Amino acid sequence: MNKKTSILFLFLLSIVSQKLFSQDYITQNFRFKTFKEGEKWGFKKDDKIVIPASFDYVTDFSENLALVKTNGKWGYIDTLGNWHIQAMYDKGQPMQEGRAFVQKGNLIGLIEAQYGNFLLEPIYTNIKEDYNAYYVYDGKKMGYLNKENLLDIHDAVIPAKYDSIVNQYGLISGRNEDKTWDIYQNGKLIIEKASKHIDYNDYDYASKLVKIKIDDKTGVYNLGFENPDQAWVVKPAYEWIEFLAFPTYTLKGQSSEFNMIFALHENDLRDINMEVWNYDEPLPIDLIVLAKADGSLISKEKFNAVSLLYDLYSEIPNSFAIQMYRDSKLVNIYPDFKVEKLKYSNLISHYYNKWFIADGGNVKYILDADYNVLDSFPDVRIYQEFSYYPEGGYYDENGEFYYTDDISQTATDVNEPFLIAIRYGDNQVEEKAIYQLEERKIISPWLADGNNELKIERTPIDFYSTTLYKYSLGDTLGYYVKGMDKGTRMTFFNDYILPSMGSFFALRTRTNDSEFKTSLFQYEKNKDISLNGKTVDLSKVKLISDEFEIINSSEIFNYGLKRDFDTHEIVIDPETGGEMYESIPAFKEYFLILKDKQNKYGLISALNVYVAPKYDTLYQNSTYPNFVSLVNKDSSGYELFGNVNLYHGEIIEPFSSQEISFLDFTYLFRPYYYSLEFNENENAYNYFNLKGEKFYNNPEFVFPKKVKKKYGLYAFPFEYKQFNNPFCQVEAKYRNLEHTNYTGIFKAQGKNKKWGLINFLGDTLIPLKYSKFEIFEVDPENNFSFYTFQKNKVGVYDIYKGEILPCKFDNISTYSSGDYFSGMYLTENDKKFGLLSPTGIEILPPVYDEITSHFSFNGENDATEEFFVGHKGSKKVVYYFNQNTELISDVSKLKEYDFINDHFGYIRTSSSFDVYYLPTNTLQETIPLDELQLNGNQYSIIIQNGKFGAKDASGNITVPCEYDFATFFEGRDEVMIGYQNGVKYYIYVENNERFTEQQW
Amino acid sequence: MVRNKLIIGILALVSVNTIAQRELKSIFPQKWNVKIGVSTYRTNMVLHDGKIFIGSNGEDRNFKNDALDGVYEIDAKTGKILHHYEIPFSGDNDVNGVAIGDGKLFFGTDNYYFFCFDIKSKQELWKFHTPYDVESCPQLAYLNDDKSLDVAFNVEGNNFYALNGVTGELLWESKEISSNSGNASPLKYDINSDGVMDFITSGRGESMSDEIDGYKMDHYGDYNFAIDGKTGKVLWKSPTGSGVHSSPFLYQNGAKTQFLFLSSYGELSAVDKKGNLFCRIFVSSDNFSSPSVTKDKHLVIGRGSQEFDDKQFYYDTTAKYNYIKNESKFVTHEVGERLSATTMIADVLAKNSDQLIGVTEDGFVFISKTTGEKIENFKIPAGAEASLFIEDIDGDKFLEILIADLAGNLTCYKTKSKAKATYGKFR
Repeated sequence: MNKKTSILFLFLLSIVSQKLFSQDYITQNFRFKTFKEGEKWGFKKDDKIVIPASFDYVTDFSENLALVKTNGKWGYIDTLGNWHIQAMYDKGQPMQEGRAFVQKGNLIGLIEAQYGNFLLEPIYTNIKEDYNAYYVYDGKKMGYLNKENLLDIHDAVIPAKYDSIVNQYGLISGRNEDKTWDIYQNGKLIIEKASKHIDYNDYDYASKLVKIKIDDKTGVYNLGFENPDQAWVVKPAYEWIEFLAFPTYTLKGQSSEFNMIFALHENDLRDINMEVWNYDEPLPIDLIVLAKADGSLISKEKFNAVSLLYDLYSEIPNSFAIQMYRDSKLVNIYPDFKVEKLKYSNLISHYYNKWFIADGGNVKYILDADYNVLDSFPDVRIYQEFSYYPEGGYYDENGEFYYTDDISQTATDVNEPFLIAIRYGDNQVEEKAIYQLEERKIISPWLADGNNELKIERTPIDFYSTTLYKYSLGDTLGYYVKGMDKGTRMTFFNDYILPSMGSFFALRTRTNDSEFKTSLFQYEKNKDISLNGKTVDLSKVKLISDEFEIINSSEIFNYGLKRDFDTHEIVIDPETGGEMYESIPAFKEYFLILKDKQNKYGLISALNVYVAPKYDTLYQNSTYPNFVSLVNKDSSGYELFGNVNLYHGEIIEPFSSQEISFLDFTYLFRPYYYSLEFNENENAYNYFNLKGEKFYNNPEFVFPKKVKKKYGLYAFPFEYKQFNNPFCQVEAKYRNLEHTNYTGIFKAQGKNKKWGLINFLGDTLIPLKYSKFEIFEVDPENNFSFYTFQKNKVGVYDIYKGEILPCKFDNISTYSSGDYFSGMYLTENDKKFGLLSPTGIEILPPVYDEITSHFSFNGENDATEEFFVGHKGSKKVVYYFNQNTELISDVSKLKEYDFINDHFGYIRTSSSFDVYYLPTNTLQETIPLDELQLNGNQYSIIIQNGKFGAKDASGNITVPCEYDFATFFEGRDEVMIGYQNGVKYYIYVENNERFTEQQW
Repeated sequence: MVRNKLIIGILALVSVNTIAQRELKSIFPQKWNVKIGVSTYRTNMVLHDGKIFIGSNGEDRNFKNDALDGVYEIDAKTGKILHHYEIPFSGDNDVNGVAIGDGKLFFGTDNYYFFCFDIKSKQELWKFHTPYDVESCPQLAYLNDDKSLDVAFNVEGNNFYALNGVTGELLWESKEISSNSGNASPLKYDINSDGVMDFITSGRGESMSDEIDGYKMDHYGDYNFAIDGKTGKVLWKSPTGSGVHSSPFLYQNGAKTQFLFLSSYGELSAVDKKGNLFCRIFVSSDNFSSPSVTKDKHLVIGRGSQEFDDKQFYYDTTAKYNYIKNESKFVTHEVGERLSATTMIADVLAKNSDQLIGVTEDGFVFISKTTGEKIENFKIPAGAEASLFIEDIDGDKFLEILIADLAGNLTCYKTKSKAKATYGKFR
């Protein structure tokens, strides 16, 4: 083995040793035993001396070497007792992961196990080790050695001469005494005396471009170049530099040119504190030039600001144009570097560029996404208060969008802010009107402002799924409903319209000059409220409650609805939400608190739960936020507690003298959820089910007990000593009963030796017909599933849904990655894999070598997408899953692709590639065989004469075109997967070094 | 029937006004001080034959050539170092926990070895090669029939070992449960009543589970578990929510034996001898210190940092179990910036009733009532991770307080209390 490969082996060993080591070491450890004879140590194997006692000290064999001491020096012997590394050190360390620290005198170094060569010479006073590196010390001065760089043993050590070391993505900055920084790449000094160290936002790992500051000026350095003269892409001459990195894509055969753009700032305005700015002095104007990734300027013009236009092409989720501001004019630069100068200035952009307000001097234009003028007014402003966006955020007065977690809307029909249009009437009096962007029109009358404030009281978002609008004009009220020509003054409902909750909505009407009445209505779900001229047609809705008072409406943030125990007032405080107990699902829904004339409280929740106003008070359960306690006083004035489940609307009327609370996990089992009451008289707890029926046995303390060879369930006498007759709830008729991890739920084995699941009342939850089962998944709202087994085949049974998958697979697992869970099942039969939907529909039969998946986020339809790929040999079948679309498309139409790339699948024909758009499974284009090119950040996959290879950014072919198919590995363009004569290879594109699957 | 009521005391951490702090020595005069190197929250101290034994992580926890690494034998009366047990070979020879029995000193190192030394001769008796660091405190028990103490301990990775205390040979190993961080120091208790001590401890991540560099953000096979001392078989395992740095606490609640576990992300679990979980509450994340319970049934938890709002404690007055009820209340005592040491329980102030006493990493010793009300926070020269050691170490009938700090000092303070410490030492 030559030296290079041996060290490579060491390196690989170090990668895998974490796994191997724990298994191997025991064998090594126990095959050889140390023994002492007199004052000397040796080794025995199977109780026979294999290495005579001749050493002053020995350690156990590790990695086939033992550290031993003789004549005051330490070295390493092999298992035959031969010196592998002569005893020449004053101290040594047992081998660990192919390396060991050794000392000469009190100086320490590091050797490798294979030859005993130094990885670090023993010249350091100390060495520290972390996961990635060794830090070497000369007294207090530090140096550095990246562990990965041990291949380059001597050159890679950064000398111990720095006061501190900063490691950022493997770029090492060492601080000199004069506080300048030396910068190293792969242990090689590339920059001396930089003004600052490299930090996380200086380096673009993909492009190997790094911002470096010298003499307080910033430039761009390309780490991919060996020659420093070539490496400076942008000389350090700018105050600061922004990297604008763009994903590349191909649209209709045309590649986007944008990859990396530099915004080169001639002045640095980042640290200007406007609060202390001296306004007598002119504010410096940012002057920016734009450069391409190679440093060449896109335009010599200097701009004042730069921003991005998102979603330039609807087909490409991450397509951008750059928008530059210069002298109040706008310039768009498109991915082909085409420059478009716009005639407007101060474009205020909506998030998805659906509209703009443009400054046309004396007139403000409202523009659509294509800059067509929708309308124009002397002035246009964004209405601030209700310019919410459903993703959660708001617009400030400058049109800047700010994200915030405080708003969590589900409405999708309103996603654009309101505008206020301004015009000037007689005597130049300013008049205002509301411009509704969604419908692109004025919806209110023009109002001479005077002292009156134009105010939008309720928006469609407030109204949840309905389309009721309301605005106020001073004390004049009007409303607008989508579909009307224009808003109108309120006449019949002369005061108040309240937000709708699910199918409920409330109307407040004036009964006389000073009194109002609020009525609650319910309409048929998913049906629009019919409009009859200017008012709601009450014949289409049902009156629920004729008179009550709305206390408040809000969003429940975990624990928002509280009770003040001193004043007995209801307090709504969405700010006090805390972190949830991890297994309890969060509950965030709109609700409305009602109070009737008798001061009784009720509520409506957006999930269509209605609790009539008949309780003295109500408040949210502090542990399970979807439960609200209902409280009334009995005839003696004592409080009785009940409960409502806001998910399902189940109400327990107040009956309990104690606050209703819940046994752990019982909330999972709706039919068996319990409340408990401490009964002072009986000196015990009482447990109640939904109907208020009383139990004496706590399901937590019900245990299996064997009676005459059969198992039943009985209540643990812990709290029931006073009961003469210990409660045996379930007859002893089972062959076996075992606890599960869930309160009151037991695994039961019947006469037929088959297993099922029962609750502590003996109700069968899963029929007793399985050879065994294991807990699989608990999702309290949707699933409570078990793996079931029959004849060594596995299926899935859900307590709520029944048998989801029959027992016909060798293995089943949920297919999930990261945080996102699509609910798919991965099935396995005969070592082939398939895919099933959460409801058991077969998407891919278990005939694939493997199933992989990857995610992406589709900004256009605001959804997480998942691509499930079935691999059969080199062929691939893709099932596209979009959380917003129908779950199961027609799987019979799935095509077998030769390879896939991003959102596209490729099928090779004799002369071309048919390219399919995976989300829609439709043919996108046909590309002649040799014209296909898949672009990564640095490299591209190309085809020549029907064979695949790769080239670099300069067009040099780095991987010859000799593969039948090729694609990039997991989106990493430095690694290509190529198939050649049916063999799969992993190829480093840079140097054409390739590995088989096994080697990889 | 008197219901079991447990009050939860949270040692909350906020910035403490340092100007008005009294120094600890103003109330407890310093008796002696000695340099031994850095200690950790896994460090314990053992008093044996008038001497204190303590492990050291040396000058720096990551140095590979650290002359301060090893175990120190210190005269409890004077603080003089009587012997420094050093590892003869190079590497990271940090020592955390130690145990003493049958005249022998047992400890593991971060250099993949577990050692046994003869205390009298100071000679190494045997050593055992482990696959990973030994970060925990070992436990001694009679595990075989040779009437000599054997030793059991957690190892980083996925192993738990029991070794013959005389020969150092493997009695059994348990690889079924992982303890990837390996920080929990096991508790011993004869769970199955077979006359042999069993071991209760915690792990992180199932053996060979699909972890990424040992980091997980959710339950991923983290367990509290019990191992049969005779065979090494897992007697039970009880899932917990995250990795566990702290060590279990044995709580004898009347006739009932309970084990308390606290995960690093704040899941406090109580299980019975059979491993049945009967209480689980969430207290706050970033826990390194172990839970303890006072005689008057206050559960004491030290929080690791102040990243979380105190408000979250209040919803945990749960009635899910009949153990912690609605009338349980949380009392918080603000003690400092960061707390990793386990809080001790002793009447250090000679008030004829216990106090809670602990030490923070930013240099405070706090004392509060067992009900959680603050008595006073005292400044000390350097913060500490290691739990305090409170005992009459010099035989003068008065309690002493030992602090092993992060500056590498071990300091002894005198008290005027003749009480016996209720909970005076970590393992």
